[in-house]
Amino acid sequence: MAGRGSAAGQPLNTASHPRRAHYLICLGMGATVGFVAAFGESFYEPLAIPVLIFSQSLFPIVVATAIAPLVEEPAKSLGLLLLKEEERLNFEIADWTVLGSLSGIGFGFMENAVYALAVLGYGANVSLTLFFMRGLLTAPLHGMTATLTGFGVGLWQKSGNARLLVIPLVTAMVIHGSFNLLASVI
Amino acid sequence: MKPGKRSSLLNAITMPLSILLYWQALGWLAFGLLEPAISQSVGSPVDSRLVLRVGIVMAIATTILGSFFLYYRMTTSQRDVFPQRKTLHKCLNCGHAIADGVSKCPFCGSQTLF
Repeated sequence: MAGRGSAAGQPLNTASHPRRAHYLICLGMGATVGFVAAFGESFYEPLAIPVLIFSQSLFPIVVATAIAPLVEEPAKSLGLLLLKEEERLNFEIADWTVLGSLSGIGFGFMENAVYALAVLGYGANVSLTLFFMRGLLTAPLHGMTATLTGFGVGLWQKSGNARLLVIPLVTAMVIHGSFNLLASVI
Repeated sequence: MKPGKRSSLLNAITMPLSILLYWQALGWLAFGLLEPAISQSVGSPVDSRLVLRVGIVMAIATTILGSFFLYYRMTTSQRDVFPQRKTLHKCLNCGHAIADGVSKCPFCGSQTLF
């Protein structure tokens, strides 16, 4: 198997490049998580219930800007974690960022598909327009944030220091939250 | 003689980010043009002039950022990351833990590499 590492987590052999299956795994895992996340607000909305005590109008904004990024960003990169921790594959940092991008794009497209289906009651043209617009706007956003997480996974693998994943992951959460805040304000 | 490229850790993220930012620039334009119609259809109309203005400003900002990342990619090379050496072993004389590769024990001064 190309690019396998040791059982201790440190790579034994030199880094290889991902194969088509690895790209598909990341895209598919991202899409699977995106599908769950599109319905998932009902799972993680309870985390923001304390906000309801202070303001009812603030509740959806807190869910979108704070809770959603906190839950979605780590979940989006499960495919990468699977390849790194379970399969012990050893790639270059640039390859991890590409795998992260695909994971985020898969996430974004599946989430958009669910949202487009949700507004199908308003007409097929509204549904398709929403899918088209979100495909251009939010799919690359998820791709960008997952790229940063992929970068963090790459740094973690190369250095053996898992703490290097934290800064890119938090940056991804901040970008995601800022985007949602802007969308909420408009 | 041409100077070598500056090495940077962030070089790895520049290509995907620049592509995705250019992609999103189109999305901001689509947002400015399509969002008012969608909002009206679902019964929550928005200020279409504000939405269009935000869409245009964000499209320009994301294009500039994407171009910056592309420039950054062309002017830098990927810096390697190496695992930190953390292996320890005990000094044969005093028993203190010392880093692998240290020839003289910092606690008792004895030679540790024989």
